Amino acid sequence: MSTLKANGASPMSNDETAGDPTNVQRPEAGHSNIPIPPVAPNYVDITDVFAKEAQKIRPGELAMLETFELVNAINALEIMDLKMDTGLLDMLSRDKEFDTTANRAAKQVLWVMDELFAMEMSWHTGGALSQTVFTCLYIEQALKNFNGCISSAHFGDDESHEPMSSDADLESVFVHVVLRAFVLGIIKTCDLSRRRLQCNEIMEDEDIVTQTYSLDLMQFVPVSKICSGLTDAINKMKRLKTESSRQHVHDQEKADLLGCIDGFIVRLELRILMIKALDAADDAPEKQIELLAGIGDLIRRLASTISLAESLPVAFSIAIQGRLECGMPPRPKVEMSFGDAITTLERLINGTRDVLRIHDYGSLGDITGYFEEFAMRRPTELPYVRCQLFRRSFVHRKIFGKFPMRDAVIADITDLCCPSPALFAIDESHPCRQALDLFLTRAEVCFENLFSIMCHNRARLRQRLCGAIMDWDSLQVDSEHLESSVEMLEFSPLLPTVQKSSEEGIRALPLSSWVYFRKLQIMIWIIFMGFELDIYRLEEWPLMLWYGDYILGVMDSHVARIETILEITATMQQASTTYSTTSRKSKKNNGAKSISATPASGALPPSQESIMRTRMWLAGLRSQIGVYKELCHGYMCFMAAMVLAGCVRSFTASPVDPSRKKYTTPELLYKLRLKPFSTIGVPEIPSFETYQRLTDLRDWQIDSLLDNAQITVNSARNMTDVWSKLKPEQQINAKLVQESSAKMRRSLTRSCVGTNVAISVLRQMKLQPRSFGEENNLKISVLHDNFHPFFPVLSVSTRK
Amino acid sequence: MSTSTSNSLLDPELDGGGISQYISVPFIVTTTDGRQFHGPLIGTDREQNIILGDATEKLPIGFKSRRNEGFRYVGMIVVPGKYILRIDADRRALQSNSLNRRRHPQISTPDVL
Repeated sequence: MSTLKANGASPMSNDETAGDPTNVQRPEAGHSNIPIPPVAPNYVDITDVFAKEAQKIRPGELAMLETFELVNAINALEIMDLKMDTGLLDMLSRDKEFDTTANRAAKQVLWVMDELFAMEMSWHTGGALSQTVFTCLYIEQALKNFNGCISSAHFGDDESHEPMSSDADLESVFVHVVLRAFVLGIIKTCDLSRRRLQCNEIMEDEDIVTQTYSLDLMQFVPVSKICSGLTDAINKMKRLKTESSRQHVHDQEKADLLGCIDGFIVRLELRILMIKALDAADDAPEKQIELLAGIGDLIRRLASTISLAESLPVAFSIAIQGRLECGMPPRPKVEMSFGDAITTLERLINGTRDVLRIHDYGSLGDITGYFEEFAMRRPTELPYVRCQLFRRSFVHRKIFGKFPMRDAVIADITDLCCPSPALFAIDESHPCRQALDLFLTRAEVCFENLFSIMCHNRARLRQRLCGAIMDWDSLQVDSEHLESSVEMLEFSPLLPTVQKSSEEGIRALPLSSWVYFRKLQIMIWIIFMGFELDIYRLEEWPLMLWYGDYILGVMDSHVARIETILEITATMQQASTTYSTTSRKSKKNNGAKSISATPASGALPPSQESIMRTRMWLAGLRSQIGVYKELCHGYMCFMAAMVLAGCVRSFTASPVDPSRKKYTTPELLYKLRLKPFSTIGVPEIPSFETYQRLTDLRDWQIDSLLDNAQITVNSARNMTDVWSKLKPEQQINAKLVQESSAKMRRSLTRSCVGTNVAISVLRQMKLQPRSFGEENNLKISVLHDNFHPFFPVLSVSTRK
Repeated sequence: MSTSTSNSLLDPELDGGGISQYISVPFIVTTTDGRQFHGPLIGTDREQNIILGDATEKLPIGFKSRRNEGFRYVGMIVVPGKYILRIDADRRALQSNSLNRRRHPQISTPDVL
């Protein structure tokens, strides 16, 4: 054993080394306070030699490994600094050790159980286990003793000394039977959740931290054993309750004890149900739904027992971070109140139950619709729920383990464009079969990626969409190339158009139409999610509203084109039916001729029913686009009025401070803001000069802009009302999302109303044109709650 | 373990390597509170502030052991010179470094900023 002196845990003060910064003081040798662990025999003491060699380094210089860069040192922990050194934190807390074997009163045990539950919910909302569940010293002790056998997971000082509890000593029963069973239950629920959460749709550190710091969360202990321990504890409490009730002593203490026992029973039952529900994550949906419904009932019974708990904060400590395999500095405990924990659990239960509805799909398109609605929810669903949606829906890269992704792609193309059924039934020997297969394979990847993206949190979703859009653009090029080949033309024949002046007809081109549609949809999401996530500065709002309006216009034209094609196809089909009927009649009449359209050679037409269904859906879609466009116009006029009034800086004006001119220009800002779309071939980004020309405010007055804003916003509101009255059959792929779609439309109406109010407020202020930067006492805030996520409302008020 | 004052590193054959001979050598740095940090030396300066990479921490004797017999992974750490009580180096790695220098004198020495 080394005899060198150690100073204990306290770091030396700066004063002691103030005299000579290069002379590192060392305590005198020969006087031991804390025994130093021995070193391996192959190690040699180089303390003095090293000190001598270090003196040769010039001040300010560093001797280091060639490949080491200073950026690597950013994450390095500084030892003996309380803000960085978890080990020091652990050492300092050692004299305040909490005795996990000690008996505790029922109220204190109740509090520990509630706090642990709150910590578990904190973990689900983003806190690391080291800041939540693992801060409980009972959890730490149980995991430290655990050697693979459940009986070893107790609160004793070491694994061989299990504390015994006696029925005569109630407090020992509360700790070593009830609390122990509950602690093991918490560990198991964390393990089951964690296994589910390990999927690519959840961003580690952004959404949830699944690191366990090399601790085994009893992964191989069967659920039945944990539940059996919980059941034993429940039975013991029930017996105790019966015995206590028989005693004819009625006082507050007795009443509290009985209340605590009831509290224990509810919490233990809840824990059993949670374990079973999490364990049934891959089982039949009905089973999980039943278990989740049971949890809802128990939550209600839980509320009545909260007030009995008595706090025992010493049972939790962040000093345990110094005992974990963790290269992070100390982080504070993530607190959550019991009420918030209950709310989080309800979110978890309701979200998981909702996800199971996806099994009620009518068509594959319903699943697509459900994912799109799921991605739009606010607040974003918990990471577990998002993981559950993806893992339930995609098993071995097939939808519900049954339908290949290709089926979903074909269903989506068919829903939108109603191509000839023969398109996807091309014979192997056909010259373009291989090219079509290749296209569909690429489309599967892009489409599946879209589902995966929709399970992310909103900010990450937008970022991933910016990446995905390039894949869809590339897919569009492939699809156009494919459909322009001679062999594919038979599936996309030239259809006669109404305009007689045009000699050329119009081709359906279903594949590229579908890809373009999805690409435009992604672009619209990217643009408008920027408003939802507060990405744009106020001065950028006019630009993004203008660009959003432009893309909506492109989408509207595209959808109108598809509608036209379907209309022509439907007319031709009807004419062709008439021809068949007439031709039979004419054969009977011997020679009467009739006019008919020539059916497409080699291609069967789609059914009338599918065409009608799609046309109804496209009509609803165009209504939605119309509403969005009107709102964009209204917002643009409103923003323009605020720019003229000097409330918001003009995007196209030069920077206010002339000295910053060389660093940025409006054109550069324009390009930077539209950067996600710069690599896309079609639609091309309009030039900055075009934008400037179209948004020139020189001939406008504030009042006329506000009038325009009001008119267009009112028009948007009316269109929303009409759109809301669409029948369910007019909404394709909406079987699972009727209620949420209706809710979204109501929020759109509220955005219209809110904006109208803001316009009225601005009008009443009777503002005069002025430059931005001149003093005004106006305050502009962006309100998101209760409004449509894509159209938050600007609130203008006077600064007090 | 005895506090060895004999130092084979002062062996004339091995001496003259300077601070560079210690870079990448496994170290055990004992701090003033009795903890030990095991890891290869990444860098140091005149004040003997030591950077260890992939370090593990060991508690002093007498403290209740942690799960893995007292060892805990801490990653890259900086140990300020004023808190260092003792430094031990892996003898074999040191000798290997020295021999390599003698065999390949043109091998570049670690950077000194």
